[in-house]
Amino acid sequence: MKTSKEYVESMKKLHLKVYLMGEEVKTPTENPMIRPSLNSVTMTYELAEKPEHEDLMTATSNLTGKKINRFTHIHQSTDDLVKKVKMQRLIGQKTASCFQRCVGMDAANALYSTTFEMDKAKGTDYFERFKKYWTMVQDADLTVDGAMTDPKGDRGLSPTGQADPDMYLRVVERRPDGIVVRGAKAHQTGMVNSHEVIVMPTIALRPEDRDYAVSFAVPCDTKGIFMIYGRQSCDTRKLEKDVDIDLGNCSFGGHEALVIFDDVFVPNDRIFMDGETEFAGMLVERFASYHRQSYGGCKVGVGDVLIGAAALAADYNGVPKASHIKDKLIEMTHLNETLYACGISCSCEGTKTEAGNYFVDTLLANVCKQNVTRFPYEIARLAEDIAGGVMVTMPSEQDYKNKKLKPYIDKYLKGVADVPTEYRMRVLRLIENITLGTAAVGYRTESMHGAGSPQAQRIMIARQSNIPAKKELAKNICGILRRENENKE
Amino acid sequence: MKKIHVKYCGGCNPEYDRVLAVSVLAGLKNVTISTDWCPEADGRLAINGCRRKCASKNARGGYHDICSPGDMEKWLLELSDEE
Repeated sequence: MKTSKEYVESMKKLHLKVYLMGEEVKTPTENPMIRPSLNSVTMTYELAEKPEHEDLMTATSNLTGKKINRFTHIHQSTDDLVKKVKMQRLIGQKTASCFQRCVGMDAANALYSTTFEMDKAKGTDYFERFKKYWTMVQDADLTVDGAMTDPKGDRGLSPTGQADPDMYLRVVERRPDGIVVRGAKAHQTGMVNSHEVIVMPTIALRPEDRDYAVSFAVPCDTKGIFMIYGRQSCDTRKLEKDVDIDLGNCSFGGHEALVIFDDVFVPNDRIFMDGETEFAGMLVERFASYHRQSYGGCKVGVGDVLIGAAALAADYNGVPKASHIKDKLIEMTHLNETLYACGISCSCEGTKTEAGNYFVDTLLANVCKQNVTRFPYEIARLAEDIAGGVMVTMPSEQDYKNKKLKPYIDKYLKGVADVPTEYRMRVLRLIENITLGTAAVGYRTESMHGAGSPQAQRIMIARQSNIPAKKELAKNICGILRRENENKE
Repeated sequence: MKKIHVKYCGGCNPEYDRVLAVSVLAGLKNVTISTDWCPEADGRLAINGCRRKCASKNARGGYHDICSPGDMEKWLLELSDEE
């Protein structure tokens, strides 16, 4: 396994093409806007080095028998699925941000079972190819981005019906030694901090969409790939001179990027789907289900930090014993643990696939994510309620460091007498960061749209509701079944 | 000299400082600690951060569950009584 230092050094060696604020970024690892997100991914390596977190952060590979980072693990049991959620909660607690590495893990587990079933049906050899690739990933302990979402253009039209055929990533050329692909993947979490990218289709496809049924993996610095870093609320605070308090979260962050694949060559040994349209839907559904499970861990960890921050703010404001404050903290905890309960339940109810890895219960995973589209918003609202309006009206850190102004700010922004004003400002900036600053990207809007927007989960829940059986239950209880049987006689 | 094997849970819900609790144990004169599996250990402790006892779930070998500093104190008393 890589150490955290080895991970950072390995990222420095990549020749990524990254654009931010109109300029090409020469060294992404040193850029102050990007570095916090690198620190979050680094935490996935750092915690794996510690014995007190080994049980969650590491696993034994079914491919090699070696100890590996759990982010590269192919789940072998429901216990693995549960530990995945707990691991994600732990890292959410340590970073209070989107730590980005889960997408590749979810993509790998989806591809593992899909390629197996594809080979069985079509006589292809994608499964062995994928296992060989993923063994390399495990041995080198790489961070892999999972790229699914196409820009999609006109959402009312299929990929082949678009005015611009590149609105969905597709194969533009097939050669004896590989394929050439063109298109883009939007909202790519952690791409700038990843060694490799796994690309997948984003929707179920029809036979005429053959060129869009493509899945492959390439290094992130492959010729033809470039990334345009996503703008975030309050992002330029990271560029302010000697900034500390006003960041809220001093060290960590997340990011997304628009990733362009400008006629990128993919060698055969890196292709895991090419034209098998009937399996695109399976891959999408499996990835989406694993990723919806993930949110029952990561967002709960961030929620833990937000609850702690709100409780601290209440302490510093001098109102920890007020009954409405206690009740708001209870409500925040209730909502947060409900998300966790969903993550755990879809894991416990997981089943073994034909390939041998374990898959989550899809109904419960979709219920998990549907709740994640709502509860962080309410948890954030309650945190803002407890924090008070001063959270968004406080003077800047620069004003606080001004020798003339500091005494006035210390005096008039003090809460309880025995807590320095600076501490009150710090915790309020943390709440601001999570609820409407850079971390709100991950905690709120990503909770809404990540792993599929709310309607996507509602469709999946509807498909699995088993309404006919439930109607029979009701008919039995109220006597309709008995009467129907009597009437037949 | 007693050799004690300690197995940590993953630490996602720590109600106390697990590492500190183990360091107290490691500081005893007649005790060595190992986080690696050792068949010859004189005792096995599952260092759980909370009541869910994840460290001993599905674990091979009999583990004594520690879920709080109080559990550790109690176990240390039993250890010294044995001697």
